[in-house]
Amino acid sequence: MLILLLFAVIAIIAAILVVSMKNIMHCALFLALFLLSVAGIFFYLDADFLGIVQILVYVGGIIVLILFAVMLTSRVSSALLEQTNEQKGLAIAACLLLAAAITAAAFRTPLATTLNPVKAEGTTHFTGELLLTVYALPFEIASIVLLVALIGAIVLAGKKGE
Amino acid sequence: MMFLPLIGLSAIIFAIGVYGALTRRNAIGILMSLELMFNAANINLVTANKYLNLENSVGIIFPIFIITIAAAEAAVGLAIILSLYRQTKTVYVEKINIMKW
Amino acid sequence: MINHAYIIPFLPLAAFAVNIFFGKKLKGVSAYIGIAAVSAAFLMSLSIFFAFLGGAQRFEVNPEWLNLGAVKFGMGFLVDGMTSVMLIVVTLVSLLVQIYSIGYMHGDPRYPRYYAYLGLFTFSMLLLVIANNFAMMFVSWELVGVSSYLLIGFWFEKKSASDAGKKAFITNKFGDFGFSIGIMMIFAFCGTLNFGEVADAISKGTLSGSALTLAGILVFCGAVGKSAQFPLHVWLPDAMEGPTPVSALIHAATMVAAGVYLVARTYFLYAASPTASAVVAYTGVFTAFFAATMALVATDIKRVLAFSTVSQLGYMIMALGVGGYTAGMFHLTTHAFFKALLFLGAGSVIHGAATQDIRDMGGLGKHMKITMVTFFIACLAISGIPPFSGFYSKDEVLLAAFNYSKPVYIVATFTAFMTAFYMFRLFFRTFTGEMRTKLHPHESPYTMTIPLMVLAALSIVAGWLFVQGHAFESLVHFKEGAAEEGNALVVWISIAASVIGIGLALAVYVLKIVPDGFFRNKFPRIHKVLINKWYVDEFYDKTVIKPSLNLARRLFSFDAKYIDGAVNLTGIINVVISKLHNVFDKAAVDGAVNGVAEAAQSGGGLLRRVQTGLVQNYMLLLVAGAALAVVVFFFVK
Repeated sequence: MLILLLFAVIAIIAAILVVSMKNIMHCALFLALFLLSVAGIFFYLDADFLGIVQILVYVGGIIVLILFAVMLTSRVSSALLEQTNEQKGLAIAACLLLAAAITAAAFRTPLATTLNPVKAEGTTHFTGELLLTVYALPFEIASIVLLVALIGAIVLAGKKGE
Repeated sequence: MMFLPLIGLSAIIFAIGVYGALTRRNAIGILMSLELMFNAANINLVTANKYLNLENSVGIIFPIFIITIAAAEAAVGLAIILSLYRQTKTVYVEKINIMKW
Repeated sequence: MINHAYIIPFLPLAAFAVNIFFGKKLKGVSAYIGIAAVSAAFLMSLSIFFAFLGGAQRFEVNPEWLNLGAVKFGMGFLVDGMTSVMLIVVTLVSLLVQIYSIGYMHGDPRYPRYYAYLGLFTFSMLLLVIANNFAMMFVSWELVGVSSYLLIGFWFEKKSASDAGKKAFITNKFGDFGFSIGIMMIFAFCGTLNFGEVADAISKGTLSGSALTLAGILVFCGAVGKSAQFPLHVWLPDAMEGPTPVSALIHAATMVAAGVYLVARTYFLYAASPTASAVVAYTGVFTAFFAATMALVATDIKRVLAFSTVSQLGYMIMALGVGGYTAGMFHLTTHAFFKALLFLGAGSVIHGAATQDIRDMGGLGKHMKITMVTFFIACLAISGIPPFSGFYSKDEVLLAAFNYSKPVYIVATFTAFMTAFYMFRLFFRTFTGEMRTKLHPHESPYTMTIPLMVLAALSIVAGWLFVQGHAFESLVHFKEGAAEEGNALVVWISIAASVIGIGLALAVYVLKIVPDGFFRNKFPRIHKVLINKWYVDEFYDKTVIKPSLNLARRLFSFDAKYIDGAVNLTGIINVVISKLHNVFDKAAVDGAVNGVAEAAQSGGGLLRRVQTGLVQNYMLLLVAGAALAVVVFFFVK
């Protein structure tokens, strides 16, 4: 319980820092911290496989990608420039309203909550089985989506005329 | 029972993500905020899987696909930003307003 | 393999798709695509055929296609002994024709398109063969019509070719009209279109009496059109304008056989109605005789063969009408081989000698040995000389006619005599004697002669092989039962008729005992009638085409005078009213419209400021809206 609380606090703080830091490079590093803490939450919630995927794909892949993009465009994104636009106040109000509304809605929705029993071997085995049986088709489609994204990214970012 | 607090956590993170997407001037910053929102959704799903009786572990499988899509989105999004940067020499979204009449 | 017979038609369809879309790039390769597809189809057909020889059972799949509540349509396929024979005939002839066409169509600017059309035709024909219901039959029937139209008019730059295509298509439509009404009638009575279910309904008496007879005759109308029976035979001689391999495929072995196949497939209609089968029988025998007389005098090599085809189709139809179900299909099979051989041989002659008129030919045998020998074999086969294939099938047809009615039998035998005469007239005039005009004949390339040899071999052995142990009868029979007793008298009379016919041709054209032109000079009137094809075309021109044109012209002038006048008057009145409206519009309506436009413009000028072009602005409003939506949805009752 305490661990969960710790991770939750770290996640919230890191998230706030991600959206408010002036140096975009620091933002990316805090995003990594945030993602790690979310992975921790996943572990706590018995989603072992998901936690590992989170670390591998997000922290290992996407963060590196973002860092590359930051460095490639760093000439204009110096810390001296204002990083947020002028609708900050309105945005804070709207977001607070949103968060409050969602939470309140969740509290007012009657859901039959039960604590699902933890399996001895964890959920990874079961997840793998599902991915190759019930969810085989979405799984394959997701792989195609990734391939298309890969090609699309190369086409978009590749230099013209070479 | 940590169900409602966790839902609240995901709502807060989601709101932070929305805030980032609304206020960041840097396009890369907006992309990072999007990642925050994705993660909020994932926390929500995993929580539901843990505390609600869901069939076929939807709450664990679905985040896998979300992560896949997020990875694809990040790759394409960053490629677009790089290509835009080459064209306009900026990553600040309010400067990229050639579609405005 | 039988369970997957539905694959067979789709192989040529795939070849069609490839050739029609990528033909320009493929060029010469398109022929090999077509040949590969149809070879695969042939091999599959062969395995199905042997499965049935080995005693396989009739196989039908009938999945639901359309469910309209009370009425359900199935759309499946049916494979039985008859289907397996037809599959072999269609795929084999198509394969040989496609190989032959490599040489014949060499250098044609639309070569890939030609192969595409052949693929489409083969697909339609195979679909027709495996159809298990009237609807599917009708669809493929029309597809066959379309693809034959495309192929007959393949050289559409030639006016005569495009006219022939149209003629074939429209003439067929007359028959199809009856066919479609027949199908609707069957559906109205039986509530199903599946062959097996309709047959059950007939045996239960749901469709009987004069309704059954009428339905049978209407369905037969389709066969009359497609199999070129009198009175819709006029398209077939003209269809010879198409490339010769096409004539071999369409007008010898497959498309024209579709009519015969239709009658055989729906034989339950005719078995239950003696009147309908009598119509079939007399139509058939009359056509057989009638076409043979025209073949006696025709001078274009392909037209002789066309009339001969009409005549032989009449034979098959007659056989079905007189109850010789097996005999009719047997003759169809053997005829497919030797008539395809004749057409391909004729193509080889045309290719080598560059003329189609037999009066200009003669002595070509010296230069075209393979063509001559194979052509000779085909002539013997069609004349019914034992042991060639035509003998066995023709003998069975005549036997069935003999048991049915003596006058029919006599006419049929006389037709056999004429057949032998005109085929050998053709042969002697083309290949023997002296060359009548200066030609430079040469033997055709191997791609053309090899199909000839294969077909010649089949023309020799097919008949004999099929009667071994009643093989054909075990494949194609309407009801279980003993084979009909052979009749030595019928056999000897039919052989005698053929031999006399050949002898007469020999006497006239080789030995010159009877001078050439003797009959022409003796009976000039009959000759004139025959050479003009009994004036059927002229008759149609006077009775159908001219009146329709006249009616159309009358309607046109009526339109021009009265209807146009009325329309114009209305127009003038409208113009006057419009003038009045105009004045009112300018003052009142335009003023209002302009006022609205100005209001919109100034309003737009103000609202334009909202459109900042910054996506984040829009998104902020979106988020605020979403939050408000949540609040309203959950907290405002």
